[in-house]
Amino acid sequence: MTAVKSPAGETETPSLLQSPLASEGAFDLGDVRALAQVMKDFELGELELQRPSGERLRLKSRRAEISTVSPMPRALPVAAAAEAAPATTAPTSGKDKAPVKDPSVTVITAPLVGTFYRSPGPDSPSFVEVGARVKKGQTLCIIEAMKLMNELESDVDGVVVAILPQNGRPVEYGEPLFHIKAGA
Amino acid sequence: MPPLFKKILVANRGEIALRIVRACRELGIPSVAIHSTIDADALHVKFADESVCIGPPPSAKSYLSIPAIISAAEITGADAVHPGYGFLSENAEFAEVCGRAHLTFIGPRPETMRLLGDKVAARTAMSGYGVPVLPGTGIVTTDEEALAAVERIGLPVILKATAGGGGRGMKIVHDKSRLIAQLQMARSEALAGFGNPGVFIERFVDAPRHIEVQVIGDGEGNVVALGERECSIQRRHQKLVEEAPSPALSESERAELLSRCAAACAAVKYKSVGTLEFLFERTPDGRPHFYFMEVNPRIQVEHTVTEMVSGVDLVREQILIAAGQPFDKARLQARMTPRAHSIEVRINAEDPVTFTPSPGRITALNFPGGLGVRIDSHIYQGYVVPPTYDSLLAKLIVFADDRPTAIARLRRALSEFIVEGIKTNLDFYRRVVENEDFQRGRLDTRFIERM
Repeated sequence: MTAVKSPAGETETPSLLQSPLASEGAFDLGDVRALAQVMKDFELGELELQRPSGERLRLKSRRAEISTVSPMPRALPVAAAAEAAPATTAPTSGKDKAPVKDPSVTVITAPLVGTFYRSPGPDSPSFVEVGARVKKGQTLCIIEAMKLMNELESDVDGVVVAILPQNGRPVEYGEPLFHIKAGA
Repeated sequence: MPPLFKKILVANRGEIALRIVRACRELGIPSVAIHSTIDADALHVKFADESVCIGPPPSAKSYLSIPAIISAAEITGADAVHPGYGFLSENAEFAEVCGRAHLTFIGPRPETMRLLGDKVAARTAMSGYGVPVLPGTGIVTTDEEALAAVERIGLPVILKATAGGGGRGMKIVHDKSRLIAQLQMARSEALAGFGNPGVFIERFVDAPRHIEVQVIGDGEGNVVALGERECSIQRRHQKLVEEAPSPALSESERAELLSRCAAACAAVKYKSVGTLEFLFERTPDGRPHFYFMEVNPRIQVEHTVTEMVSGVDLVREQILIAAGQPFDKARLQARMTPRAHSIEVRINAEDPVTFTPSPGRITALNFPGGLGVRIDSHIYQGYVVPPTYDSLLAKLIVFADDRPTAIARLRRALSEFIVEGIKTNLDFYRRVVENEDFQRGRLDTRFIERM
């Protein structure tokens, strides 16, 4: 639903909110993601949820302190949950085909709506390529909005492992742009 | 004939964004929805041809962010912007920025918005064009001026911020000894709330009716006053029930009011749709008194009841005027006489006792239907009402040949209306339809206090 159709008519669907939470059964990664988004949106420090089955989930924000509390303690099965997730999440395409599972990978998202440029000018080399090592504060791209060129800087040290939008394409607020792997 | 727009960006959310998307669809104009992250699953996003996420949930960073909205228009190739109501709809600066970005702002000219956004200027202008106003003052600068004004007008009086509006920035003075203190408070509140400390004084009318006139103009001096609405049932200046026509006016009184409004708006060459709000009271001798309050230079929430009794699609007309289509004054004038009676109630997500907002997931939903029932709403079963925005869930609009039949239809429709999972004010309206004063059309702005 959050589709920006480019002039060429292609549709890209970033997933900004996960699907509604299921009301039954175990919490899965999709639930955690959806709740984390809610916490971010409302700037909540802590969120606790209990299902009728007794399963409880507590999330704390700021440097991702996540703890699960349930009557029958068990580890959060990350890989299994990720596989199970498509059954409950809305169909997604494009950028979302490869969800980030690696905790060492930081996703840099668009801080504003505009046009994505990988270089400072049409004849200039790109700021970064896949495989490049970047430092915190280094410029990754430009987002043009209302004729203003807004430089986007990396907020981590690491290696660029993915550049998601094509040069010159419109991007939405919150759309994933770069994957940066720490310490690679 | 000049072409219509290539694409319209809808700079709003909720039911009005959906209303505008629908008008675009019927005109064959592609529409672009904008939304915050929390509105990604909203219906206006689903039904628009395209959508752009423009920011996080707080309005200041999304629906009120002029750069984000202009940027969204640029990347999607929109050539016009419809602001809806609320948010940036009355912001003259936004209208100007649209103009500079070569986007048609679907609304009045920025200079008209500036004139009408200043209550003292609007009052002076409208009074000069023959619209009745309350006894009152311009901006009051000295204590002596204020005391002399109260001497002349008589107590009680109301202090109003010239930059206020929609019921905000007002203080009632019953006691002359408290006038100066309240005036100082009103000034500091006006400065804090609206960035302008200017305050003026008017006679206070205790329990008036609220009657407003829908106008539509082409910007060249052709204006039609399409009819009036009565919106007396309010809580803290928040309208809850609106109807057209007003049960209080005779045909000659209505004709007089409409012709004065049309003449005044023609004098300012009003462009697009707009509403002139009045207080109305009938003195014991039976004479009607209208007092101009303000002009709302935008589409209003309750435009629907005028649509139902006139048969004119106001949002469509707004788009056609903005696109420079010829203004068919005779066609609109032929719709001035109400052909039915229509009542709207605003279903809000709120606690029926405390009136606090009640956000959350809608677990079950049934909309009423049948002859003479219209629902304008952005909600659906499973929709999560976010706590970030206003609490309007749905507008239930009924229409029938006459007022008693419309009330019976409203009662029937309310009995079919089911919203589960969150609290709503549906029960409040179920009480309103049983109220004898409501049934007899004896309405004023204190109706709810008496219920």
